[in-house]
Order: sequence, then C-alpha cells, then structure tokens
Amino acid sequence: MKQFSQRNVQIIIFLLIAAGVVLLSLAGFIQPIIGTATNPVIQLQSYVSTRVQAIVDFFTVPRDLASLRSRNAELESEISQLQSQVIQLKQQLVETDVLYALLNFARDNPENQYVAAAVIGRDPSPFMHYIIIDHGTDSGIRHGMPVVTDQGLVGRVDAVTAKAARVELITDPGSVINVKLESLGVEAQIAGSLTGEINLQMVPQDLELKPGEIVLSSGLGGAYPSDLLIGQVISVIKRQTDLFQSAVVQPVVDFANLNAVLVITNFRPVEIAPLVPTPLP
Amino acid sequence: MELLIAFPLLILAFIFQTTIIARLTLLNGMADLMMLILIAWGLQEESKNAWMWAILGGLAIGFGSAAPWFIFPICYLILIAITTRFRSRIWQNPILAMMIITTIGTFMILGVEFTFLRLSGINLSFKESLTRTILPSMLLNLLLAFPVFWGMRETARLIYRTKNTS
Repeated sequence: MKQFSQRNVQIIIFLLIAAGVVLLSLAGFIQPIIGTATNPVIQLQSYVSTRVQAIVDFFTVPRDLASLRSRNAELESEISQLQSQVIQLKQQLVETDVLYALLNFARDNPENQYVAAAVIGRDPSPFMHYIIIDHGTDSGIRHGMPVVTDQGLVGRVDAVTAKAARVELITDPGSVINVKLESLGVEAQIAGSLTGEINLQMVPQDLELKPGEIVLSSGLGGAYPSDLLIGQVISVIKRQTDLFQSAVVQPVVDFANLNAVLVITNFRPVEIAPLVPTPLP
Repeated sequence: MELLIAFPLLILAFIFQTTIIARLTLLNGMADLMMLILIAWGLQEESKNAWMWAILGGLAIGFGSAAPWFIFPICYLILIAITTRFRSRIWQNPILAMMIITTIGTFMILGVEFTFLRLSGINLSFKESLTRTILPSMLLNLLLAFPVFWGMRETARLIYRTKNTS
C-alpha cells in the first residue's frame, strides 16, 4: 500500500510537471527557457563546425584549386578561340562590306564589265605608288585597263602576269591624267607626287577655281574612261606670274586602306604613240 | 645547302616586303628588308655564295617593283662586294659593319632610283625626296638592321652546324 501510494505520488508529480510544462508551453513561457538552455549548445556546435570545416577545407581546397585552375585554363582557351572567331568575323564583315560596295558600284554602272580583285601587295620601292592585285591575264586583265573602286578612280594596269597584275595608282609621281572640272566644265590635268598628293595643273588663270570643285576623268587621250570620280579640290594655288593656276586635290579613294578593286575589262586604252609626231633627224 | 635555304628565305622576304613592310612607312620612307637580309648574310663569317643571293633577291624585288628591274640586282651585287671588303677588314665588329653598309646601301639604291626617275622625266624634288623618303627609309633600315642581323646569324649557325655534323 505504501509502495503503491509512492508510485502514485511519482506518477501524479510527473503528470503535474508534464501538465505544467504543457501549460507553460501553451502560455508561451517555455520558449525563452528552451532558448536560454540551447544557446550555449548552438554556439558550441557552430564553433566546432567552423573549425571542422576549416580543417576539411585545408585538406580539400588544393584539390579544388587545381580543378579550378584547369577549368580556368579551359575557359581562357575558349575565350581566346571565341575572340579569334570574332576578329575573323569582323574581318569578313569588312571584306563583305567592301565587296558589297563594289557590287553596288558595278550594278550602278552596267555599261562596264568588271573583274573584282584583292590587293595583295604594294611596290617595294618607296618612290613608286603601285599595288599588286591577285588577278591577271587568266581573268581577262590586260595592260592599260582602268582600275576603280566604288569610291572612284584608282589607276590603271601597268604590268600583268597570268595570275597577278601591277596597278599604277593615280598618286604615283609618274601618273598624269586628263581631267575635267565638273562645275566649271574645263579640262585640265592631274599629276601624282612623291608624297601621295594629287596636283591639279593646267587650269587657265581666268577661271575662278574654288575649293570643293569636283574632279572627274575627261577621257581625253583614251587612257581612261570619262566621268570617273577622282577627287575634290582642297586648296588653290594662283600666282599672277604663272601661266596656269594649280590646286591640290583630295582623292576620294583611301589609298592607304585599299583592299579590293574593280578592273574595267571592256575598256581598251587608245594607243596614241604612233600619232605623236617624232622630230626629223 | 645555302641555296636551298636562299630560295624560300628570299621569297618570304619578298612577300614580307610587299605585304607588311610596304605598309609600315615613315613619311614616305620604307625599309628594304631584302637589302638588310643580303647584307646580314654577307657579313656572316661562314657565308658563301652571297653574290648568288644578291642576284636572286634583286631579281625578285625587280620583278615586283615598277622601278627598272636591273637596278636591284646590280645594286645588291655592289653591296655584297662592299660587304665582303668590310668582312675581311673590320670583321671583329660586324654590327658596326652592318650599320655602315646599311647606310651606304640605302643611299645607293634610293639614289639610283631617284636619278633614274629624274632621267625618265618624272618631276621629283631632290630636297623632298631626301627628307621625306631617303632619310626616313634609312632610319627604318637602321632600326631593322639589328633584328635582321641576329636572325641571319642564327640562320648561318643553323646551316653550318647541320653541315658540320653531317
């Protein structure tokens, strides 16, 4: 009886404690107690976890670093390949633009037949302003044929082989071309120079030549077709003591960045040498 | 062996000259890679048949240039003759000889070209030609002379080492 009553008392106490805990929990009083009790445990767990993670990192990071380095190298290689592709595509885009412009020029001037050629070299002598193109007699190119771009006149074929040709630029010191001034309607000559400038010559003194005047080929002499755009007058040199006035012409073609040209293949220059009188002995 | 090397090397030099060097101008001046290669080769102690290199290189440049083709082989041969003289006298200092012959060669080749063009009736100003073409070309040649000399020295060593071991 005594034992039974002791057990009952224990059960009752346990139940009372449990009921108290439940009631405290329901009343919201138990959470701060639990928090207070668990905080040190959590802090200790965090501390241990951090240290353990540090030790794990110490052993595992070098392996990760090696794999990261390898991955980085792969990505760098991929980037350089993509950059190379971008450069190639940009270059192709530039070439396409140039070819498209040449095609437009050919469409706008259907009276001529053209052979498109790439510029593959320049004259090795600094005194000579010539370019080398990648088409020759196999493509129907002959000596003396005019060479143009969509911008204007470039020059004429000076020498030709089966697969290549050399073109004398209008800026060459030895180049002289008969031209006409668009608005004045007067004929004159342009001559190249060592510096690459084009000089307009033989303009009568009584004409009022102004900067901005457009210079076209006149076709006189039969070396070039007429009405090919050459450039624009940028400065006039007029001296009272000279027979003619002269001017500096800005060419429309950018000779420094010439990549592709068109050769007019249906134009044959007129050979006037037999008509030039020779002095009698 | 030297001639086997000469063909591809001189063709490469011609291609470099017309595609790359011709674009790298200073005012209107341009370096003459072929001339530098020939001088540098002529200055190598072991080099033989330099005169054949001069003819090959001169013909290549003469073929590509609008200037009279015979100017280049003749001028290059004269330069090789001068180089041979220099090599036998001041061979202890080939770099100095390279600089001197480069200067002489630039003046000679461009001077001959200028004279020929003037005689052909092309109106070239002497002062303009000197200041805008000849002197800048000389400067570019002198700048290129060192790497070209070094390259040709290594080429000569490679050729003659191969020759001696075989």
